[in-house]
Amino acid sequence: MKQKMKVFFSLLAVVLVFCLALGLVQRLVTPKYMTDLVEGSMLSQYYRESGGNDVIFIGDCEVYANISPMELWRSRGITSYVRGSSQQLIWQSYYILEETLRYEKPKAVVYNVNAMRYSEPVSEPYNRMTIDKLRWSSQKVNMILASMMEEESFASYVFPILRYHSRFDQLTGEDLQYFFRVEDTTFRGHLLNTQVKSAGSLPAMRPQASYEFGEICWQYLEKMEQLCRENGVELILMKAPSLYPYWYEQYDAQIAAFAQEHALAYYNFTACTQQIGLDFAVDTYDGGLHLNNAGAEKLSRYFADILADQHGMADHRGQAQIAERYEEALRRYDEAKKGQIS
Amino acid sequence: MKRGFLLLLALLAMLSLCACTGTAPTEPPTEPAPAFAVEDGFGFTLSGVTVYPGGVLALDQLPQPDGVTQIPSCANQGTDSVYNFGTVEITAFYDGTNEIVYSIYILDANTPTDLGLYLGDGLETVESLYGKDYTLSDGLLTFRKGNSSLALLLENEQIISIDHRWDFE
Repeated sequence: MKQKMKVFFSLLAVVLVFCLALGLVQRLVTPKYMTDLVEGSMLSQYYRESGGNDVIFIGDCEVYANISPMELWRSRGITSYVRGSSQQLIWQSYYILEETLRYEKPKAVVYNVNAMRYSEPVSEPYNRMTIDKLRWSSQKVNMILASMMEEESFASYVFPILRYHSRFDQLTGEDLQYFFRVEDTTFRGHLLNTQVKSAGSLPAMRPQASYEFGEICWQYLEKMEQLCRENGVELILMKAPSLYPYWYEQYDAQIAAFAQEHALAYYNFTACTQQIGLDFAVDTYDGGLHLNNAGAEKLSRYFADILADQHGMADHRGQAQIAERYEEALRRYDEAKKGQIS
Repeated sequence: MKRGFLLLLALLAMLSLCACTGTAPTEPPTEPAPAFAVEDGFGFTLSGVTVYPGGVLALDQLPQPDGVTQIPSCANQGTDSVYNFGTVEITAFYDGTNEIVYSIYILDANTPTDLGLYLGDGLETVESLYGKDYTLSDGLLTFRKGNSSLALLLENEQIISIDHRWDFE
């Protein structure tokens, strides 16, 4: 009996060591997204800042580039966070919303509707950048199942080594530097970019064979509305003011009709760039596809007034504990801006 | 219970590594299909130079574009370049070595395709020039030759869009 126990514990020790080794190897080969392709680590940074957000913004790159929570705070004392990622598809947005509501109940969720034009997964790397760093939950499982492309496997999300084993000969200093360490690369989800690339010529506005959004997109937008309603959260729809890809008037009409049907506010900021004060000669870092930080601050100030005056978002600048946290973050944000510009 | 779970985890981990190994082929290898030649596709001639979807974009042989825009790639991860030559817009992606054309879009109603189709022409003209071997969906007529396609958008019985495309597998 003693001998059997010895064998069992020896085997167990071997297994544990194997699991530990596997875990460490997986951690090594999985991209860190800390210096290169930082978009891949953005969603997970929320977990360190969850709670106390009156507004949560959800959506694709238009959200994390164009909305600055620090400017929302600076101008109207609004607490917020951006849960955005590159090419975030609407089913991913839904599960991110569902996950967020496990951590807090904001007063409002703002969803950027650009992704309504994508009714199929776009690329596996984009899936990875949205999904890989999320904490495991039923929402992550459902997101994987909804997002997987034909060449993907669920197992590769559970065991990332299946996907990234070929990175063994592509490891960089970043993989070692951030083996155990993670840093915030965003400011409450806003990816700071002060570069300027003026808008010039744009691709032709091509007529489409169909302007109808896919059925799956409508299903998830309905689910989003229902989930917000059940949780007492106001859903607000927005379209960020990008010059390209074009937000056809036929797209706008469909969203406007949905918003009216469900008594939701919908702000199409592509139609009021002048009122916002945007100048695409200086307020964009990629020729008009995304706003740079200067443009994001203009939009954020404009939207902050709307959120405060028309949606009742409170000014928390008089609350000492919140103000202390945000003012410290604002100081780092302003320093980072100076650092990028100089 | 705890030990059983740990043992199960170890087994799962070991099984997962098995997925890394290749599997033995179960069917004999077949002869590969002959590669489609881009020159057999729907080319477009611009200032005497024929540009083919799927082919390398030889900018040094073409006139100076009126404008160039970089946009997120539809073809792969990365950036596409959209060249506006006034009468046509050519979109290409960089494959690491060359810029590969995947769209030649006619902008000008006075510029025909190589077979003489103009924006504004009707279905009868399309069929007389290109035949009837096309697919039609939501007003989009598509002729295919291998990976090359000619996509024509029909609205109110007139062609409103002409795009020479390369379809990626």
